[in-house]
Amino acid sequence: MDLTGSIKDLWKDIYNTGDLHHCFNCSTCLSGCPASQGDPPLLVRNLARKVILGLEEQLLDDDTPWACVSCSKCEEMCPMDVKPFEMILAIRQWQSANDETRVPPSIVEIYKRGYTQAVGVNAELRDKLGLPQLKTITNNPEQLELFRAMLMKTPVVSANDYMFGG
Amino acid sequence: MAKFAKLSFKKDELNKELSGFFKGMLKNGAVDAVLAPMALGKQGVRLTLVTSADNIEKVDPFAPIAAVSGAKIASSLTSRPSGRKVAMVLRPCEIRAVVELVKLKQVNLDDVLMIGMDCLGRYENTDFTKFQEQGGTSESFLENAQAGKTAMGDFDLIGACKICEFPAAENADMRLCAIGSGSDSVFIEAVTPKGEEALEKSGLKTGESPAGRDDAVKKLVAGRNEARDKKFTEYRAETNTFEALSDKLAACINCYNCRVACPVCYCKECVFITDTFRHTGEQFMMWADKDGMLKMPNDTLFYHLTRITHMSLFCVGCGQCTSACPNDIDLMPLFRTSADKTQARFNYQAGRSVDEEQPMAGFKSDELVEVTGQVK
Amino acid sequence: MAEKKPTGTVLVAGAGISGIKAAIELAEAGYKVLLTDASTQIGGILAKLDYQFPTDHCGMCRILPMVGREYASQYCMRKSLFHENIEIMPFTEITSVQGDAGNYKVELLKKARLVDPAICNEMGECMDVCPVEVADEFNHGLTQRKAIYQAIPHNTPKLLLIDKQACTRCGECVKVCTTNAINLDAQDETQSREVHSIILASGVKLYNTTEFEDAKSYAVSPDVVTSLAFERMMSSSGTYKGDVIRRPSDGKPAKNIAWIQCMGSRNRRQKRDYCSSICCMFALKEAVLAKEKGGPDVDTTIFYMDMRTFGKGFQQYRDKAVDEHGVKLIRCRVQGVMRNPDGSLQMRYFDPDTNEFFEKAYDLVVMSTGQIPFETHKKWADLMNAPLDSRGLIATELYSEIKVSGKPGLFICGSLTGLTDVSEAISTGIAAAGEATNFLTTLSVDTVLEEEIPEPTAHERELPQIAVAVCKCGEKVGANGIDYELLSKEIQGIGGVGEVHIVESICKENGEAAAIDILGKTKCNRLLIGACQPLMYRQKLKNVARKAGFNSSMVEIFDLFGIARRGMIEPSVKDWTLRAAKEVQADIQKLKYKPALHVSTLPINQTALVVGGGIGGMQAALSLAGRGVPVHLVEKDAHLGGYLGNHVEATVEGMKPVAMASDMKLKIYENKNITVHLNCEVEKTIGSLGSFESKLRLKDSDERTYLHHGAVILATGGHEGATTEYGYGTSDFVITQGQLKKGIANGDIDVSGIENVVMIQCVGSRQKEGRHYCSRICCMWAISNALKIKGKNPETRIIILYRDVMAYGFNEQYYTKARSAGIIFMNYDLADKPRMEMIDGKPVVKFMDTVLNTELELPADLLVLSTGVDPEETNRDLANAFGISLTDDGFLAEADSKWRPIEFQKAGLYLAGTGHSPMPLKNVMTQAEAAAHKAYTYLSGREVHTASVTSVVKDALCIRCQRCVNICPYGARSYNEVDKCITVDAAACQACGMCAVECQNNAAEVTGWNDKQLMAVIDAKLMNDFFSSTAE
Repeated sequence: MDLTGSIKDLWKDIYNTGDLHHCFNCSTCLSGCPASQGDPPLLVRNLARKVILGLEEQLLDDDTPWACVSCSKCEEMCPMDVKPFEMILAIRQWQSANDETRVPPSIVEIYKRGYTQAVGVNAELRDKLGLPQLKTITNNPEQLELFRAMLMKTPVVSANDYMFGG
Repeated sequence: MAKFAKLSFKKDELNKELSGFFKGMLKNGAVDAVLAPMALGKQGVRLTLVTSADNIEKVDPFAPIAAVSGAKIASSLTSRPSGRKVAMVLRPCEIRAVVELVKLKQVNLDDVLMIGMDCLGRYENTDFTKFQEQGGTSESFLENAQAGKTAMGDFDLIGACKICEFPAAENADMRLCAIGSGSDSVFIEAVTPKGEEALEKSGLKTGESPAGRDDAVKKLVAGRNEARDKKFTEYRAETNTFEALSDKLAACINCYNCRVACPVCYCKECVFITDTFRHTGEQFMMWADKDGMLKMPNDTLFYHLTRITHMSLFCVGCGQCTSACPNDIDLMPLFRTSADKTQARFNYQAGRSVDEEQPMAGFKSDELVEVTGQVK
Repeated sequence: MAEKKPTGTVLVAGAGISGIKAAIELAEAGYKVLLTDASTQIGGILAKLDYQFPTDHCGMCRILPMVGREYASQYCMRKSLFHENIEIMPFTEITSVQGDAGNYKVELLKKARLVDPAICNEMGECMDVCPVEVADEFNHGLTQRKAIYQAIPHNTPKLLLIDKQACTRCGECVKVCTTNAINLDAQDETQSREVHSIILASGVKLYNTTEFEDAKSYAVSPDVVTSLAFERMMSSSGTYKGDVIRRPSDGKPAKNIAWIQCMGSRNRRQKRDYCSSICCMFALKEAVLAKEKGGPDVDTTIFYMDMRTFGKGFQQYRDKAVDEHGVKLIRCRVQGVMRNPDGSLQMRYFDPDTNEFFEKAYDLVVMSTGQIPFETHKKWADLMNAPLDSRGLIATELYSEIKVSGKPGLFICGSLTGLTDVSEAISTGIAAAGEATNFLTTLSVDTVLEEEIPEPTAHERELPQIAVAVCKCGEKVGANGIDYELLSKEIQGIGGVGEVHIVESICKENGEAAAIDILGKTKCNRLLIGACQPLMYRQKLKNVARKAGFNSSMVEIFDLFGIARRGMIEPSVKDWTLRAAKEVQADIQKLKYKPALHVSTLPINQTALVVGGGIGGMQAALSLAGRGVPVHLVEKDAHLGGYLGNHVEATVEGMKPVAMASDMKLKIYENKNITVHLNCEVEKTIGSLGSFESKLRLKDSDERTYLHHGAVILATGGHEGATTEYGYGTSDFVITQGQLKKGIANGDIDVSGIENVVMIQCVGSRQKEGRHYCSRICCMWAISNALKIKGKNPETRIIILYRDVMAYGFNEQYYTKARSAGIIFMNYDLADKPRMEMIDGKPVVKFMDTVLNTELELPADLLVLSTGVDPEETNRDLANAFGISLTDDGFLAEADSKWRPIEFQKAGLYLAGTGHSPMPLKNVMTQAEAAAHKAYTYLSGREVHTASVTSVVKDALCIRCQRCVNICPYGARSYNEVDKCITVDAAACQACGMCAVECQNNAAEVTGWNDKQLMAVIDAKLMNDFFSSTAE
């Protein structure tokens, strides 16, 4: 891809802090990120790279920022103090701001499953560590129904109910 | 590609033909001198330094005798060089010793044209006289030896030759090829450019190569190897204890002939005749006190073990040590068996190549770790 | 120059490797040194390390004096150190410093050890009976020790001490101590000393995983250890006694080991925005050794951010570790470690090579912990009232990493200059010694030198008559006593023995006096002293002997009680006494046949030859000339300055090489001591330390000049590397960093309007074909150029394509600065290098983004190549001229990459600067100063003393096979073509005996070790029935 097309100063619109550019891709943010186990995986350092290079197109159709589960481990461990979690939120804002018809896929997921992340992937690990399996809302249909009804009331869902198999 | 010149000879005229060849080289200035075995009548066959073409008739390289190792002579002639070109006609074992002496800076090959002769073995000096008395000639020897008939009544080739794996010379500029070249001809082979130049100057026509030679050599070597392995196993069994070994050497009288005869024992003055071994009476008494008695002369075993540590890495197995012993101690197998092991340890072969560094000749911080016990 | 007696005392604070080296260098130059260390022993970090790359051995002893060995100990330095001019004070703190340069008054607090090393005979029963057990900090708590203990397991003397905190004062140790060496009530003592100069060599605090919160998510199990602890786990004197490496938690062999780099370093969030420089090589070495120890089935993985292999030979070592030893390198910083139920350590990481995540369990995790410099620097700055710079480090002068700003007489070295590897610790140590000497020579100080007792004559012509003095130590010694009457009776009977005396505790003052008195009267001409701990008391006893009138080469010391430790189980008093009497025979033989030894002196031509007129060469010349040494400065070009001094206007740290060089030129031409030879090359040099003769060739002419000098410094430098890659030479838009630097400086290149700049690092470098080394300075050059451009035009888009950003040490701050300025750093892989295409006259760079894993391209207005540093081609000729060797890369090969970085194998030859390897300006200055000091050490006097024990040639026996020449590890032997004989350079010879072993008829011999003597000793041992019957 030719970088001449990219927007040099895109970062200023998205995440205008003195911190972002310090990222040197050490991958700390990736290695412990729960959302990096999702599909598609959330790769924080890649987002940072896209912002820094100013790859607007790519960033716009990137849904992974919405997969962040806000554990803010990256925030805590980033040696360069890039504050990745804040960056992710910033990207979400910027995405929404740049396309009001955007419905974060995560909301569809929430509607369908009751939660965003495929926490199932942790089942194995929990076993290994001798932890009980999580009680997810999915094992509880009527709760899920109530939850869906509640969601339907929110404008973003009701306005796009076709997307929610309504 | 090596060049060959065929040298056919009529009966009893081998040496005449050969002398012609050397004469040619001397006349045409290929070399200024020739060092070769010459038949000196009563004095027997001896290495002789010939500078005049008229004195080369009696050359007799194939005579089965080597009174002294030619390597030592080569050293005397070149360690302080004359600046004149010398052709040296030597046996394979002598050339292999020369190779070691080059590395020890005791031979300088700059002005040397090395001519290696096919060697089917040699007799002890005394036996060689008998051999001649029984009418033996170089021609008859070449013929019989190739047929495996070397035993002459009560004597035979020396033990070293019977187990020698190198009947054909390596590291020579030219070779006198007798093995597998028929009973009425020998071949003169030019191996190196130096050799080719000399061969041209000698005036001989180059042409066909000895067809049967390679196989003949192989066959010979195979037999020798077999004999060698047999000898090694026997000897190791006979000397597998300290006592057994000292018994083998019991007859030693510290005459040091073996080290004088040894071509690679190159020290100017052996440590055993320096003050280090001029013990005081007090010391002799102290040793005697240990067991109440002390065999004299002492230090005999010590002497041979020292020679092994000093020389076994360079030993070429020429057998001169055995020949030199006035008390018929067969030292050759002692050196061959130990050299076999020490040289293998460094995957070194004495006499193989001048470019091969001698073991333990340079400082390596982690060599023989199993011995130095360097811990990591 | 005049003979001048060096005077002055220097305090070296910190006895780590750098401090020790500084002390030794000063001591060798004749100055008095006070070497203190706050810890209980000397040696610093290296005391813990058995192995150093690249040899993966130790080799510390190589820093001991090689000329004039008589004045220093010559055994394993990790055991102990001795030098006549060095007073060693471990367990000592500096509490205050008054006064200023030239006359400091220092208050010292000498902590009480409670065990007096001067009288302790080290039988060690005290440790056996001590009931208290505590964690041994030397092994990082992985083993236990007693309250009375030996701080370093391999120390000799053992230097026992008592841990006041742990001690319960039960007094058991006092009861068993036969020499009353223990005093539980001993108090710390304060001392006040006057010194003329101070060198700070304390090193810095290391990152401690229990102290800092950002280590918490890693240090989750005892099986997560620091890199230093891991050294102890590998050490033959360490946790597992050199056996296979195990998990501390349960002792299972560790098969799967991971290293996590940059623990505590390179962390902006924690305000530790620096790199610790040494950890990358440390980890590589540990990974290699772990494999060598544990065998091929041991799996080693290093998680890193940038693998900083910037030093000489580092890149080769990295490649060897990966290609030959199979060490895995993964560019990923893990977020934490999790302990599995089975005790294994779980880590999740992203592998950029496969773009996949992995979950892996490891047996052992090693944290590569770095430096914590600021508090150490603050502490010293306060104590010395020295300035700190903006970063909070002790401020040094702009062009020096040694001289403290505004504080003449105060210097720093070692890790205070930034965490240093061994070779740099050594270089800075020598340089600090040099600077201190520079300073001291400007002072007119006289220190009282205690008058020397002249060496008594050795009566070598007389028949050996041996006096034996047996030191009696209380009534009881060790587990059993010795029957002194029986002993002297037995010894009296041995041939050669004249008199036997029993003396009460020679180690104590009254004993010493008694001994001197008794022995002073004897008729004997040789002396054998039977005592405990010969290693420890050697000097003391030799002095006793000397005072009693014995020539030191006629004295032997016999380890009377050592035999107690040689396989005798509970011997009876009689047995032991007889055994001792038998054992002593060997020493008597040794003494009987011992020749007198004489220290010989080499005349010194007090002139130096410096080859190379670059900044390094000029600095070395000025430093020597400043100390009054006449110098010949030889430069092959028409003008001085070298590459830096003629091409590089400014460095990222704000240094101005060109300006600096022109300033130095002025000084040089003003200096009467310096003769400059331009357009000249050295054709041939013969001779040895003290007297060299060099033949100079004037370029393109037959004119030859001959110079005579006593030492040589090679400062040949280097220049920017050449390349044909990336279309260099085909377009004006493709240039090198050097050209850019110059272009910006002199305005030839206008970057103001420029939009896109791409820089490519490691062009032709760090690869097997091409420069197989890191040129160390390119990353900083790129960053400094990039910052310049950004400064002129913040809108410019600058992309730097790198393999590893070598922003080691405090250079990290410039890397960070560059990123904050919006400069974009993108990593590329050697296997998939960037490509350049010319599209309508402009270089278009196409490269793989290893993060997004997509192919990117950018038309560059400027493509800048970091082509590294090439050594001077003329090094080849120099190597021949001086008989020295080069590395495969064509740099000068020093004597030892770690321990003797600025010396050549051949005595009297030194090197400095880029000729050694590519290095930044400050390091060039340091090496130049160090090389100058090495030379000065010998050039300062009219003669140097060689050791009394050196190898000699017996010409009459020598057959000239020259095997001794090849085998000499010190290049001390050579074949003299003129006289056709072997000659020995007495200064270079270290009496290792290799030649004597190699020479088959002993034409090569080491004085004092002749065969007759050795055989007599062996005989005596063999005669010793007792020995043979009870030896195990």
